[in-house]
Amino acid sequence: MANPSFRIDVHHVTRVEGHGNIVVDVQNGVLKQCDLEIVETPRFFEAMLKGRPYAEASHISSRICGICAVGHATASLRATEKALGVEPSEQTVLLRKLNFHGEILDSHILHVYMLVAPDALGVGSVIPLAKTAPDVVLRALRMKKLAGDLCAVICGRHTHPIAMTVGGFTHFPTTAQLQELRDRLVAVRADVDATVELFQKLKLPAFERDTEFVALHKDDEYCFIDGKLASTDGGEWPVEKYREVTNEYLVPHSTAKRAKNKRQSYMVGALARFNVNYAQLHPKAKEAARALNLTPKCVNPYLNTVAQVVEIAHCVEDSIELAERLMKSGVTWRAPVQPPTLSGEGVGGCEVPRGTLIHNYVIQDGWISGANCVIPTAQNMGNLEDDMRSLVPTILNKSQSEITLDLEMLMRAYDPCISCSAHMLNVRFE
Amino acid sequence: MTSPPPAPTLVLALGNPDRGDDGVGQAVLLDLAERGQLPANVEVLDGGLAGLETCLYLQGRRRALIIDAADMGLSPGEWRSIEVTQPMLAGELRPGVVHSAGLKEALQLAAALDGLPERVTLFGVQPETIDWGSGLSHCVALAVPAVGAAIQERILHDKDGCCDGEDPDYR
Repeated sequence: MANPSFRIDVHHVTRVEGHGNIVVDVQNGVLKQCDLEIVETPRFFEAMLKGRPYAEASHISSRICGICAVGHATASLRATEKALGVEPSEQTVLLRKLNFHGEILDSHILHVYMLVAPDALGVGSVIPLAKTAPDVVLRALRMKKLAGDLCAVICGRHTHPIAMTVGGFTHFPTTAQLQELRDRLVAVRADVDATVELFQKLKLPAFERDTEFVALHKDDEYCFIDGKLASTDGGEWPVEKYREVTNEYLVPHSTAKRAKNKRQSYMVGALARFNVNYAQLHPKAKEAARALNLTPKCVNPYLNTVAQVVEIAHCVEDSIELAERLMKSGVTWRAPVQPPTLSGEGVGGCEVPRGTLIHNYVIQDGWISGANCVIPTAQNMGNLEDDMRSLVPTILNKSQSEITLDLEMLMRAYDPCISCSAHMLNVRFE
Repeated sequence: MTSPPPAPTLVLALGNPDRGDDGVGQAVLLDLAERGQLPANVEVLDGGLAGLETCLYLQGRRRALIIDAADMGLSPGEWRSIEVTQPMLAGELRPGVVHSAGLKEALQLAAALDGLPERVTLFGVQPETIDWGSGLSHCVALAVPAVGAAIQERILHDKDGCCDGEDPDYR
């Protein structure tokens, strides 16, 4: 088919929090249209936060996402704490890091095993995968349960943390709980190795497109909480200047904002973190990266999943060290640090599973008067659309179903909220 | 370190007690606890909102009795015991369900993993409300002792924690 003409209309990709469409129109071998339409109804969380007392913000905003609830709560707490001049204790910082790793592990394990592995293994979903490779699915469930249990021990429950509060925690793990977690994390190393081995065997598309990668960065650790914004195109920005990086704008075919920094679009997420922060990865995670043949700067967006596997190795190892540090210092009950002032503005930044998340609050006399949340999936939409526009002309020799699958896999590689629904694409060819 | 094998019979409550009658499973577990000690081959577990990880709770069991709120179009507080069979679990997962899996999806996955207990009985209780808030509605609270008694009777009639012939109608 030398000069094909076809239209792919992936209508209402239902996602957890909304809807999106993929529209591809090719006429006589020329790509006329390639849009990622986000038609999700705006959810107005920022408006919900306005007029609420500052202590409620983390609990309200964690409901933005059931997968990244700890991430939203942490970014929210950091924004509030910076606005009100609160310095959390070292114990609080360590507990938050450990909690955060639990959520990263939970989300990444779900994504790499339940959403991507079936594609790469050529089965439709996790059910046929369970029949042909039950050990793989059981391993995923086992690892996921540990990640959920970790969150429950630290923040009171698996999803939507209840024990995290401004200035500290309201509940603390016992030494016995930390010891059990540490032992289970050590035991799960074998499952991490098996995960790396699995993804060594899986073949992902070889598509490459150079782009800008943005992630939070610290010189002394692989950064998930706080840090500065950094770009592979050069430059660092304090999170307070996030607007200079995100430059959000609207496009007619989407209710989700787009973002651009030094190029037309940029990518956030595991691959961006890997590219920006490779030097700070745990040595065992670097070993995993070598085994997976992943090196920075990697510009194949399909390998975002492989970067997630590397982060699984990192988070397990760092969690073991954090649990040991907490046990060594001894976790003690401490009242949350009280804010010295009740008015101010603050910006909290975190690296949630899907990328850089920003919460920005203005607080007056203890009440939130302004809020802005910049979500990773929104930052990635422009880059994903640019990838699609670059990819489609290179695969016009494929059948329409193969092109649709390549586009679905590309979307899933970004692990957006819509990825879980991408299996139910209602594809129409015209 | 090898974990001991799980108890052959599992009594599993599912649901969120902060969503009104969705907490009926946990209420039944409390009722069971008040009825006295259960046989050693029975484990009682509050699964909360376990999702697909429910599969792990079912692994290695011979029998599972699961209590959950279920919208069956009945009057609030009416309940049914339903034997789960393989044909009920045929087919694919609902699309997009991986991030929000429920009991059916967990049982489907357990079946695919060949990890479904020989016998799975669902005790479904019709809720009046599953809106935010703790505490059961009056009608559902009234059903709790009957469900607890039915589960206790089933457990006590099992000699080895597995199948015990025909089901009586417990309704």
